Order: sequence, then C-alpha cells, then structure tokens
Amino acid sequence: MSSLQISNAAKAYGAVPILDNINLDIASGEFVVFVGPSGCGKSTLLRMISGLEDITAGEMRLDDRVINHVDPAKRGIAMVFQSYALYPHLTVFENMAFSLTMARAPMAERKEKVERAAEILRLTHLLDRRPAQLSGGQKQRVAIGRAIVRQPKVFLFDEPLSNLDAELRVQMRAELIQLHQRLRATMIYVTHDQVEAMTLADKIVVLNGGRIQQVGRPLDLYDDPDNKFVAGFIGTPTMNFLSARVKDVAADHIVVSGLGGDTAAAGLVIPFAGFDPSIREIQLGIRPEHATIAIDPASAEGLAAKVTLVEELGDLTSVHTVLANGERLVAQNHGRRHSGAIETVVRIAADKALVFDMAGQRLRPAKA
Amino acid sequence: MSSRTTRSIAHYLMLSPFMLLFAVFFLYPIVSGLFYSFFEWNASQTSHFVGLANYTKVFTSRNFEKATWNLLIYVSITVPLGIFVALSLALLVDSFSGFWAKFFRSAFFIPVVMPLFLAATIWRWIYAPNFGLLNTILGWFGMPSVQFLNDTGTMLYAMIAVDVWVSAGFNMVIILAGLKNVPRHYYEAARLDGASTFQQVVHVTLPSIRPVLFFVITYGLISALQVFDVPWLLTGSSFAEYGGRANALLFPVMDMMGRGFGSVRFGQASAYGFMLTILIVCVTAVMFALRKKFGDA
Repeated sequence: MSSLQISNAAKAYGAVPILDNINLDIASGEFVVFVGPSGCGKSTLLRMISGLEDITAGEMRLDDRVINHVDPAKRGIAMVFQSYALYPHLTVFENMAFSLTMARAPMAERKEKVERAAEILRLTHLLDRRPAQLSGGQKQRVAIGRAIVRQPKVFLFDEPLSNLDAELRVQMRAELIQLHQRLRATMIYVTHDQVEAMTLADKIVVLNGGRIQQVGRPLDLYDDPDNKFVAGFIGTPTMNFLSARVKDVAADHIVVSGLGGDTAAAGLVIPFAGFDPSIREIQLGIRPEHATIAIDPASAEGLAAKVTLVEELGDLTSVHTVLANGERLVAQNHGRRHSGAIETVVRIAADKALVFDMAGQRLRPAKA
Repeated sequence: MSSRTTRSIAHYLMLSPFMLLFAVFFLYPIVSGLFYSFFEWNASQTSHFVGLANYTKVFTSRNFEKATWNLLIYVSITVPLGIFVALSLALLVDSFSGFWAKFFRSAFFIPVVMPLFLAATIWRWIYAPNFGLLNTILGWFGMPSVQFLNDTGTMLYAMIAVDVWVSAGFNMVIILAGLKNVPRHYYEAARLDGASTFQQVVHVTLPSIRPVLFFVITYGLISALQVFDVPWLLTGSSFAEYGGRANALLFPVMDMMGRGFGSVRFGQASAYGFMLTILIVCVTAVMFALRKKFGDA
C-alpha cells in the first residue's frame, strides 16, 4: 500500500493546456475516483501517474519518492485499460504472467502468482483459454488479474467497465469493491459515470476543463458541492438551477422571489445565516428529490409549471416540467404515480436549496 | 421455369464475362501447356507425341540442376532477408510521425515504382569493376577490386542484394499497414509490464501482425520461385546469352524461357513450366495450411 502526492502538476501539448494546477493527496489504501465529462483531462492525469504521459510541470511523489521521470515499469504501478489490452495470441495464463515473463521470472514463480490471482478473480478454469473465447466480464477480470500479478503499489483503472453492458457493469462494480476490500491496495479509477464514482469511491476528484473542481467523499460532494458544476455533475437526475432575486436579507434567512418567473408569489424563505446583502441576483440549486408535484394543484402553493415528460421508474416518478420563464425543473414523486395533469404546481423544500452566485460559485451560510 | 432457376441464370450471366476471360487467358494456357509438355514441337513443324520424354530431358539436364540449386540458395536467402529488411524499415517508419514518416515511406518506396531496367542499370554501375561505386569505396580502404557480376562466387549474392533493394519497399508498405492496426494500448500495457523495445517487437508486434507476415512470406516465396527479371537484366538480357558466367545466375524461369524462345523447344519449356506451377501450388498450399494453424492472431 502506498500514498501518492501530486503538487502543482500541469500538462500541455505544445501551447494547448490540458491540465493545470493539480494538487492531490491520495492516502494509502484509498479508492479514489477521477470523474468528469469527456475531455476534462481525467484520463490524461491517470496516464501521467502511470508514466505513459510526461508531466509538463509540477511534481508527483509515490511514497515520498519523486516519480516524474521514473520509467513506467519501475514506478510500481499497474494499469487496467478500457479496452483490456489483452494480447489475443496469448492464453489467459500467458497474459497474466506477461510482466513476469518479461522479467524472466522462473516458471514456478509465474505459476504461483498467476494461480493466486486467478483464484481471487475466479479465473482458474479459464487459464488455458484465449481472450477471444472469453466474455466481456471475464476479459475484464483477466485484465485486473494481470495487474494483481505485478503486486503493484497503486492500481490504475481507466474506464474499465465502459465496454460492459449495464447489468455486468453493476456486477463488476461490486466485484471491484470486494477486491479493494480484500487487497486494501491504493486504487485510482477514472470514469465519466458519476454513479460508478459514487458507488466505488472513498474519495471523488471532480475534474472539469483541466482543473480539479472539488475533492471529497461521495456524499459530501452530493450534499455540499463547491460550485454549480459539481452540483450538476453529481446526482441523477441532475440538480435543478433556478435564477432568483434576493428580496430580503435577515440574520438567519433570506427571502427570494421571481422563481421561475413568478413575480406575484410572496417569496421563498431560505435558511441562510450571514448572507452578503450586496448580492441581489442568485441561483438556487434544488435536487429533484427536494421538488415534488403537489397532489392538488388547485389549492397548493408553489411554482406553476407545465409537465413536459414523465419518467415512470416504478418506485419513483421523475416529472420534467417547464416554468413560466422557460426554466426547466425536474421533480420526483416517491411511491406515487403522476396523475397525468399537464398544468401543475411544484413545491420546493426551501431548507434543502443550495445558493450559488451568478458565477456559479457556492455561497455557504456562516457557521454558528 | 421456377424463380430460383431464373435467378441462377441471371447470376451465371453476370459472372460470364469474367469466366470467359478466365477461360481464355488462364485455363486454356494452363491446359495447353500441360498438353504440349507431352509433345515435341518447335512451333513450325507438326508436333508429335513423346510421352514423358520432355520431363526426363528437363530433369536430367545440367542447366536444370544448376538453376534449381541457384533457386534454392536464392529463395532461402532472399525471402527471409527481404522480410527482415522490410520489417526493419516498417518499424523505423512507424516510429516516426508527421513529415518524417511520410518522407521515409516515400523514399523507401521509390525502388518499387522505379522501372526495373533503370534499377538494374544503377546497380550495374554500382557493381562495375573499375569505376563502380562499391569498388571505389573498397578502394578507399585499400581493398582489391571485386568483380561482383563476373565472379561466380559473388554474382548470386550481388543479385540478391539488388532484388531485396527492389522489393523491400513494397513489403514495407504492407507490413506498415499491419503495424498501424496494432492497438497502441498493447504497447502501453507492455511498457508498464516492463517490456523493452526489443521485447515489445518480439512479444507484441510480431504476433499481432502474423496474418500480414504470412501474406508477405507467401507472396515473397511465389515471387522468388518465379525470379527472372533482375538476373536477366544483370546478365546478357537475350535468349542467346543469359544466366551469366558459368550459369551463376541461371534460374528455372530463365531456363524455361531459354528452352522455349532460345532453343525453340516448346515441349520442354511447357514441361518445365508445368513442373514449376506444381511446385508453386504446393508451396502456396503449405503456406496456407501453416497460416491456418499459426497465422491467425
């Protein structure tokens, strides 16, 4: 088990910056997930850690040893590729033993290490097969087995489940969690799938535009995002953002109006201590589970909305609506089916609303 | 008439232009070649049946023995050497990108598009005894002049060098196409697993391009067994004088052509050609069998 520190790391291809000012501490035995949209630089960061990409600036330390210029093979890092990178001409055994073959390890050692890894991953009966004779999930396990055989300090996973179907992905996710618990190894995992990130990670690193947006435990990012990007990226369906005007500022709350273009409403009271009274325009972040469709729209108070789409998921119904000013809002009904009404009223749990400035940065209440 | 029969007739009609041309230009020459191999015929007099006499005469001639021996040496050196050079060039070109990749690819392909006559002329100048490039260089190091195309000890090897030079570019382009299809992450995985550049070539590149290598080897063998043009141009280039000094550059196709168009013994030439065809078909069949067993990556 090993720790990794990244300080002020940057990557550029010529004059084009890809990653900038990356600072990150990964503790020994931690399962860290890099998550972000396509092109955010998450795979590049992983490849920089592996040594497959050079670092333009900054420093990387593995167990307090600077590894910026250390050969990839000598970093003690193993990587599982998105496409598995299994050699089609070799058997499962030969694929898993590849690193040992390159190091000219004795056959007895190869056999022992491969068989041990195969046992962990339930691959023993497949050792004589070629990759073409394996299913997607089996190939994935062989790729992980090849990494285990190397007994690395850090495991790197580059979107390893993205080629699998949805059901297998859920199964492999569970297997990866069990593997991490069994090996207690430091693992860094790249994905664009925030569900994968939430379910696997001890710590999530959210990247966007080549910069780290926020680092934290999955539920911390969900409950307490630093900015609109993180708030919107984590969580499905995505968080609703409504522009609003600050009508009144008190010591422990604010009153906002104009939500969804409704100028007639009295205003929504949002608990918020120490709000800066100079800020007049804000954006409210509301998770879909904190917005509900009123059972009796005629008598209910809330935002007038028009239903555009209903997604029935059984236990949960997501109702997509559009407000008077054209802003979109998704509400969720738990254990209740939508009535079919088009004109409706959405009620918002004001105490759960998050406040962002117009630049998208989170405004947090003052601590008591 | 059922619709199925009508459809079949339409299919055969569409195939008929090709079948006709194939029959006229491929099947007829092969069958007539086999037919004439049992006859003594000089193209002007009436032919008469001689049984297997033509085959016996070819088999027992000294030229056949010499040509076969030359061919054996030539094939066993040219094919592996040619593939090795082409593979090395392809790996070199593949390691470059952008301008230099295009430059080297074009440069190495020039001998392929160059007229063979011109290539032979250049090499005759390079090999020339007194003012040739190679002998001039040897002279700088105080070494004696070598009669590359007149010394029976060097003629075959000098010709092999020309042949490899001429064919390497073509094979390089085919191998390069194979290299481009090897997924990059195979190499990245191998790098992380501690494979050196040489180990990557042996354990990743070569197995990954096995189907391409089988094609290049098979094509190289078929071409080598029919070698004619390069030794023909480096020697007399006429049916009165070919094969070079002491027949050091005599090969089966050249011997066959000499018997046909030089000595006007078309029966023997046909027998020669038919035996060569059988040999090439056998070698190709063996290569296909090997490919089926080992070739699929």
